[in-house]
Amino acid sequence: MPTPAIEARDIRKEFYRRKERGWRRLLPGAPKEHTVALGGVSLTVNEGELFGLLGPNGAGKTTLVKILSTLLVPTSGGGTVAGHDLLKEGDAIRKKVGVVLGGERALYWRLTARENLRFFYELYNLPRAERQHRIDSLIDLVGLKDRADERVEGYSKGMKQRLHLARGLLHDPEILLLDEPSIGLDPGAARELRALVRGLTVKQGKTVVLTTHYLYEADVLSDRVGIISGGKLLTVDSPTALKARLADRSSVRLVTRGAPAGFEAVLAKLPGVTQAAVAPEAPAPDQQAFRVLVGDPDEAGRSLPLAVANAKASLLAMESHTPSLEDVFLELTGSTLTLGGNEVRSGEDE
Amino acid sequence: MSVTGFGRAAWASFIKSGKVAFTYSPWIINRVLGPFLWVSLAVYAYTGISTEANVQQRFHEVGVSGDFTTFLILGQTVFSFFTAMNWRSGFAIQRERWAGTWELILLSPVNRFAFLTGEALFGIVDSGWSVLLAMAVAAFAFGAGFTLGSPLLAFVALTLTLLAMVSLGFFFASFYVLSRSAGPLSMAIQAPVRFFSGTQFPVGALPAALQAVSYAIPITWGLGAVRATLTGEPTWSDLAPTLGLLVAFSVVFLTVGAILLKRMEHRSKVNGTVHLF
Repeated sequence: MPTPAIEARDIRKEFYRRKERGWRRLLPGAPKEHTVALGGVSLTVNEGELFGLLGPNGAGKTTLVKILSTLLVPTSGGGTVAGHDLLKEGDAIRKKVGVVLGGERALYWRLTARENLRFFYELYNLPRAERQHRIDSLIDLVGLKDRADERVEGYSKGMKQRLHLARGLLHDPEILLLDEPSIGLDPGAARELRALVRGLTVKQGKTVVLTTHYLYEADVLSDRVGIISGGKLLTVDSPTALKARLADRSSVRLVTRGAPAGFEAVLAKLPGVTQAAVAPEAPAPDQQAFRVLVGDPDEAGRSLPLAVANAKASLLAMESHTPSLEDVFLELTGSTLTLGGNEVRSGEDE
Repeated sequence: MSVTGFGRAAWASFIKSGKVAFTYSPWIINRVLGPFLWVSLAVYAYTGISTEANVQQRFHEVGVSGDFTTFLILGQTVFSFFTAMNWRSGFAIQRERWAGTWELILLSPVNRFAFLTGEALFGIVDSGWSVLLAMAVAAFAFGAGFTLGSPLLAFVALTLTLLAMVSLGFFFASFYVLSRSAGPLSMAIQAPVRFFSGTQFPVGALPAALQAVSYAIPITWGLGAVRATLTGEPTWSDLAPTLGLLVAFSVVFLTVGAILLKRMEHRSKVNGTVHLF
């Protein structure tokens, strides 16, 4: 049985913010707005696992990461991180957890990458003798060797993000919490960062929790994905298993030439096929298009071309559409993930 | 956290602050010119309307010794150190908030006082050389008369005064942990401290009720001790009560500051205000 690195038990977080702006907010009894950021989240992340927390902006991802990293105190609930009590052993957790909150800030812009790392290395009271080697190897790992002695203010977003990652790894943490690590990055930089993150679990055996609203990122990186929306964790499973839940919604689009009338009825009776219909949009007048719903994609993949051949028709195209995490998200929440601007590009270009 | 760990973290903060500060080199000019101009203003404010003889008569009435220029220079020196501490200790947290690095410091297992100690030490060094340079120029320009009876006693008096200031700064630090809006607090205490601690006139000249406020401020005692050791020849026993009070102030502010800092950090994590800037 896998050992849990993180166990969150019914974590709830509520915020109270003053509604008024300006001086009125300082008055006693000024009305406050009540927000439930997390409505009772329970979660287990196993050692060495890369766990993706997928959800739209405002879903509660960052709040959960901040609670697990001891930056926020939950309103109720608790748990353990790296074997330590979340509410009572903050110092012990901070020694074992690396956190990358990312973004443009959270670095000393007037200092170089090396100076930034040296400062944080000292805060962790790590062995003096290993400092130089540790910092050099991290700079190497994140690909900043040629720019390590330049001020951070001249770095691109991607370089800053890689430096954030190096800082989070300084004390060689058992667990790494990454909050939206690839947000705002161009596709190339996002790809590099994902490769780095994947390497941390595969090569170094670290436990990684990664929050993202990029479906692609959650899909390709995560061993398991938790889908969170409105402060609730809706489901947790591997990307494959999540998509398999909608396996009966897989479909195939067939384009043929010379198929006999009523061929869709033949297709519907094939092994692995649930339903078949004539699709309205045939590419040319002498061609026929069919939309076939498949229950068993493997079986259908074998039987469909055979049926076309048996009907003495030509198979011009066969495109399969497998359910994506987007479909799963849609199924669970009734809405799509909200993406915008560059963020869409860095997630979807791949 | 071990003593070594505390020292390393404090030193790292000191170096970090120094490197950042020296990337803004034009400010050095302000730091040198500021204290000199304040002293000049005060000297001319008095010599423009009175004579040294009149001032000496008034000094005698309120129990102050030494010439007026030296009195002012030392007042400005101690106040400049206070200003540096005020903006370097608690306010250091505000700067980290602006940089977005405060969360990272809280994410590390570092003792928060270690971080603040490094910041405060840099404040002392950073302001120290410029204040002392400015005061040396002022002393030369206006003819100050220093009498250094016991260098060791003067050193101890100055050190304990600085310690009391750092402690006060640590006390205020907790408010910066709780809120991003604590900046006005540092600004608000500047003028009252300048007024009540007797930087530019003897505290004895104030009405009795206001003197009570003066003697509740550690800077007043520190300034008294520094002036005494640099303009007269007090003995250790003469200054023992004052030095003892400075130690007591420091212990109280550090203890209360440490308790508050821990509570305010927890409160800011409950409120979710750690990330605000």
